Amino acid sequence: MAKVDVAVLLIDPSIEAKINAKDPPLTGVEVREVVIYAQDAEASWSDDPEHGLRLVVRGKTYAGRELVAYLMPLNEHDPGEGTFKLKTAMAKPA
Amino acid sequence: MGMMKVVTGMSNHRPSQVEAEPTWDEAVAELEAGAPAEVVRSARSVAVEYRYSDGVWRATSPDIVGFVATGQTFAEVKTHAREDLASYLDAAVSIDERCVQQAGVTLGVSRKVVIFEGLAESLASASGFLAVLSPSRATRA
Repeated sequence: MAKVDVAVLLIDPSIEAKINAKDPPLTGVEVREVVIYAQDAEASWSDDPEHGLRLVVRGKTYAGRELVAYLMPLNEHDPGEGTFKLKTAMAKPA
Repeated sequence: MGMMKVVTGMSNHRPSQVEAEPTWDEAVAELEAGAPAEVVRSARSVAVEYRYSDGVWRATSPDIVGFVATGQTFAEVKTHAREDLASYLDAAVSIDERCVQQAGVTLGVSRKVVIFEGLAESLASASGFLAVLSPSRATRA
């Protein structure tokens, strides 16, 4: 199984606003909790012809909220470099 | 005066493509259909801030939403914070502990003491405690 280390997660203000506006809302801090700090996060690579290569990560925040985040490697030619941009994220509906 | 060019067509203009947001079920399906990757963590840290107010020590973190630990003593809150976070954080994540300066915080009844940064380690030893109350006494001790 390929290994992936999300060392840095860049969240554009427009993406922060997008996930804040979702129902239920999410924050970039919560996404970072799961993607960068939490134990037991699971991930897989999705290579979509339309959206390109993305890392899909699922895990729980400290408060117990389950979320899925879509990350794009900053350098698609070197996805193992460790820097990713957040494309979107969603929390599990109640 | 030159002639004004009139835009007669918009065929070269393409509105920006807005990506459709996946639903929760679609996102989970995509995760499960993708090539699994083992999540590994290089060394990193979360910040934990300790504050003393109204006779209680409190720990919070700007990196962890909803995290709060309390204790009657600094040692107690530190223990609670570390134990609580150990059950959530990956083993590669260390805790960057800071005492937050709060002017005018009073310790005890008879003296007014301003807590400085670095109190965490100072209170860990008796001489350090004396240094907080009276630097000259700590020198003689």
